[in-house]
Amino acid sequence: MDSLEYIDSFYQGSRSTEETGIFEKNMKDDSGFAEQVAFYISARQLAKEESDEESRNRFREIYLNNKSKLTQQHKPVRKLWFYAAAAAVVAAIVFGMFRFNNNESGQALATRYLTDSLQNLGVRMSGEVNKMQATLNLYNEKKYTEALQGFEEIVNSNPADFQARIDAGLTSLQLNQYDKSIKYFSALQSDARFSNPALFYHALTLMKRNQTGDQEAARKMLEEVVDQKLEGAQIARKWLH
Amino acid sequence: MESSRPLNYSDQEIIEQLRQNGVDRRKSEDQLFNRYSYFIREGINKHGLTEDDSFSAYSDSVLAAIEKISNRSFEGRSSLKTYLYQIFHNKCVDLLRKKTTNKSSVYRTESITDMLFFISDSGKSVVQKLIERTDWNILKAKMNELGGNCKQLLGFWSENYSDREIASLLEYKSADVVKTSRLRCLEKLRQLYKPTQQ
Repeated sequence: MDSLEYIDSFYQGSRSTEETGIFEKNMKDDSGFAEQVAFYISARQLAKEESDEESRNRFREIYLNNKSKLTQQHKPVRKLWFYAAAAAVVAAIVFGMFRFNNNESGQALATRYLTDSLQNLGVRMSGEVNKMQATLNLYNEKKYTEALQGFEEIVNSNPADFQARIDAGLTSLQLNQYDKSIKYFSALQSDARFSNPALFYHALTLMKRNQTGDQEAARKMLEEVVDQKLEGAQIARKWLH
Repeated sequence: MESSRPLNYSDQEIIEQLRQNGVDRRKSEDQLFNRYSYFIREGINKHGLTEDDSFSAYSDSVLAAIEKISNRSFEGRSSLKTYLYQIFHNKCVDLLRKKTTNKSSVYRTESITDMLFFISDSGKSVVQKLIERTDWNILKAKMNELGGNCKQLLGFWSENYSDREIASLLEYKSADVVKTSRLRCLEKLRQLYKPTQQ
């Protein structure tokens, strides 16, 4: 531990020429010390690689989300799609019931999405990292009541914590507390950040709630998600087509 | 409903946020990645890389740029775009030349070189030989045996966050507590790894 502390001080602090000379002499004269230096560098390198891997995964997610936008710019078929979608909406109104892709009801799609894609929330950065991680763990363990309480405590202590508010909305949705869920997502829809899934989640909530008019409203929101190329656009397009 | 998702931070704002190592750093990293992600297409069209390879080259370029900005090696003599493009171009050329080599090992060598920067050549060779003997797979497995707190702590440390910044982010009482905890985590890792090397 003492050697590690000394090595750490050498790397973390400012180094005089004299201190560097002593450090090097220790490395050459003491093989055990040199091994600890090698271990210290290796451990830091490995920790960096693990962090980088997390970043790469995050970047991949961003890239895949944005890729559809770039592809769409090269395909001038939006008008045709718009008319087709409009025709589908009219047809659905005529039949008095909305059906999404594969003739699956909106509620069934939403339930499946909640089960398949929102059972686990990944590690997020937040103003309150420890508290956030503990609350995410509760969510991932399906302890939704406790998780909601946790997210709301984070939101109360920092109302600007966008991610905690999104997570509070999702947890409310898992608890079928639709009004609360809608309240969270509605408030976040106008937040002009790079990645904002609030409108998509609002639509998801309506699809799951399935009251009169909910499916129509959800469909309109999903169309807006696609048109505005918001987060969730790929899934929304899949559901609408 | 506002339609514009990307916040148009200036390059300077991104640089400042990356140097601050605060809660907004991840957002800045994502913005930097997103801003010049069209380079990926250039990697495909100009260098003939596959999309996956071009994405890897670009991701690694962004990570390298973040590290240089964060530790203030990037002095702002060129624009962020030019700087990132130079790194990306070199990564693409490296990838084409070393198609068969392990990409992560190339990156690993670069970072270790940075760590050995302060040591004279004779000192370097001693440590380099020892590092070459590191069994990365076992060390990785042992790191995964550490608790989540340790992993998180070591992760921030490896990204050049100061103990004071880590204390603020992870709600430790002080930078000294972070330092003690970090060294305990390292010692724990050493104790786990050491017997496997005897």
